[in-house]
Amino acid sequence: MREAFFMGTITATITHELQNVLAIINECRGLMGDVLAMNPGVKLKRMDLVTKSLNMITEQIERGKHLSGKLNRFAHTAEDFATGADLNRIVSEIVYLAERIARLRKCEFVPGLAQEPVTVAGNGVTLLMAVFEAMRTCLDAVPEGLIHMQVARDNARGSVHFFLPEGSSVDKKSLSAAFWSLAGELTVNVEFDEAGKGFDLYFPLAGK
Amino acid sequence: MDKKEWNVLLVDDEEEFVQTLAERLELRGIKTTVANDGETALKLVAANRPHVIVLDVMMPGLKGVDVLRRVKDIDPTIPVILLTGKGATRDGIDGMHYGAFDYMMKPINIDALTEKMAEAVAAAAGDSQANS
Repeated sequence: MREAFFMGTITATITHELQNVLAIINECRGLMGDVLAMNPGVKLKRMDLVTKSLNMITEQIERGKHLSGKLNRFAHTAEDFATGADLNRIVSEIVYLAERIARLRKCEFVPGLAQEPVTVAGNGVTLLMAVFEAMRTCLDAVPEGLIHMQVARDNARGSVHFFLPEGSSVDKKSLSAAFWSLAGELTVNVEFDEAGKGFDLYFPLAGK
Repeated sequence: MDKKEWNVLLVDDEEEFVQTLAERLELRGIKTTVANDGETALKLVAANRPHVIVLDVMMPGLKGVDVLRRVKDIDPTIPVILLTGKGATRDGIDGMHYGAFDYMMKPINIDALTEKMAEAVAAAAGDSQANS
C-alpha cells in the first residue's frame, strides 16, 4: 500500500503540471483566435487551414483535459480507497478508468450499482485489481459488444455479476488464473452461471 | 460597474499562462495586474485593492488558500476566484470555506471566467452597498 501511495503522489503532481501545460496552450490558442477575430478584414491565404488547426488544438486540449483528469483520478485511487471498499465505487471507478481498454476491444462495460453501499472486506486497491482482472478476462472472451456488470449484496457477501453478450462465454480456467496473483491478499470466490453467460465475483462483507 | 472599470489581479506562478490570460483580458478591455507569487500578490492587494482576484491554488511558497485567507484579513470584501486543477477540487472547496467567491478548473474558458468575474464584482458591490 505504501508503494501505491508513493506512485499516486508522484503521478498526481505530474498531472497538475500537465494541466498547467494544457492551460498555457489553451490561452495561446485563445489569444490567436482573439487576434484573428479582431481583424475580420484581413485575408490570409489558406485561412481555412488556420481555422482548422485552431479547432484541432481546441479538440486536443479537451482530449488532454479528459486524459489528465483520468490520470489524476487514478493517482488518487490509493488514498481514496484506503479507508473503505464500497463495491459501487470500485466498479464505477474501474469502469471509468478502463474505458479505453474496452473501447480498443470494441466493448463497453455498463455498470449497474446497488442502491446502498456494499462495503466488502479487503484493501480497496486490491479489490480494484480483482474486478479489473475479471474485466480483462471478459474482454478476452467477448469479440465485441456490451458487458453489463451489476453490484449486489446478500447477508454475508457483496458481489459483482458480469453478464456477457449472447454467444460469448468466459474460460473458467483463465478467470481462476487471473486471481492467482491476488491470492493471499484478498478473499474472492467466483461462481459461474449454468448457461455460461456470466459469472459472479463474491467478496465477504466488511466486519462479517 | 462596466468591465472596463475593473482592476483585476491575476495570481499564478505559471508566468506564460498568467501573462497570456492577462493579454486576452486586456483585449476585452479589462485592466489586469499580474503577480507570480503570493507575497507579491498580497503587497499589490494592500496597495491597490483590486475589484476581483483570480488566484491559483497550487503555488510554491504561500499556497493559494493561505493567500486567500490573508487577502480576507486585508479586505474581506474583495472577491477571490480560485483556479484549481482537475483532481484538486478539494482545494477549491476548502477555499470556499475561507470565503472564496467560487472556483474554476484549469484550463479555463475565458468567457466563463469573464462572466464569473462580473458576478463577483456585482456581488461585492452589492455587499458594500448593504454594509454602507
